[in-house]
Amino acid sequence: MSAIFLTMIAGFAGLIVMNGTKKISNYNSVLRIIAINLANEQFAEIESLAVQNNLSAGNYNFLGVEEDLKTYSENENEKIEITEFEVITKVSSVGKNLYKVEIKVKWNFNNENHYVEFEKIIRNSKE
Amino acid sequence: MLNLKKLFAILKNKKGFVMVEFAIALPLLILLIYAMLNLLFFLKNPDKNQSAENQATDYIAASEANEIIRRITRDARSAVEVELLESNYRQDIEFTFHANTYDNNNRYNVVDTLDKRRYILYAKDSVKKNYRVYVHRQYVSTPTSPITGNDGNENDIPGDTSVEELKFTIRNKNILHISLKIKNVRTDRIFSVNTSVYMPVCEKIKGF
Repeated sequence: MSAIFLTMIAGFAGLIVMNGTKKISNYNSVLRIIAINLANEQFAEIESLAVQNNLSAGNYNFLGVEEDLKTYSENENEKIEITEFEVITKVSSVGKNLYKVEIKVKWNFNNENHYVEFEKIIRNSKE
Repeated sequence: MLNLKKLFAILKNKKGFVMVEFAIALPLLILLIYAMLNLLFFLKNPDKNQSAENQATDYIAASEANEIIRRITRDARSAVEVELLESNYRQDIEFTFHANTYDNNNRYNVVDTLDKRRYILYAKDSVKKNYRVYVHRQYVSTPTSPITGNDGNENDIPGDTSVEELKFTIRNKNILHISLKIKNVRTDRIFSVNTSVYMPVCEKIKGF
């Protein structure tokens, strides 16, 4: 019986190690940092709208620089496009002059979908 | 009692039990050894762009880019004044913010002053030309310690990076857009990271 348990443990260990090779073979961390900074870019634009008392509930497009959505990996010889990001912004009202801003940045790499999600509560400036 | 007897009977017939054990254990052990060899050969892959050492240096480049952007956005958020100083090949940015210092009359009191911090791009070694971001100090003529990276003299330091481009623009009212390109010296690959920061208390913007 102990042999059967040992082989089951060995099988699970094999599965975990096989899963590990897949995780090493991507540079998802660079894309994740780019996505976090894109979300910060969108937050900056929305904060500027809120200060001008222009923030309202609804869905927004990407308000920053359009070229930031595409990312490249460059050598001296060539420029390879890695991926394109999609920024989804949803603003909903949670009180008088208070808005909850949810930003989700999606990208596709190696035929896998990844995303990061953030939310903030921002107040419209009263005038 | 009956179960105990059956158990003893099985245990006595050890020959058959051992064959069954191998039939279960062997495929799973083969799977484990195959997985470990796969991992080992993947790590020692001679292809330059996919070896684990080079991917580790990519992670270092990304985290250094993040560090530069975090420092600049932290200063921008509290900045009262922003000035862009432009020279031939680079842009330096200077933030002025509120800080505290001792009152000259009474050293027990703390008063409010304005302090400045400037970020510059500089390459110490003119042969290698690895640009790094430094915080400018007014009393020292040559910059001493950069925000990221080190100034090693060897060619083969893993994780060495060079900042290719650091540009600033002002978008709508009080939004500073930062565009950073950082190069991984080991694989010669350039990553670009762009972000914006909103400056809530900034009153003066100069040089843009």
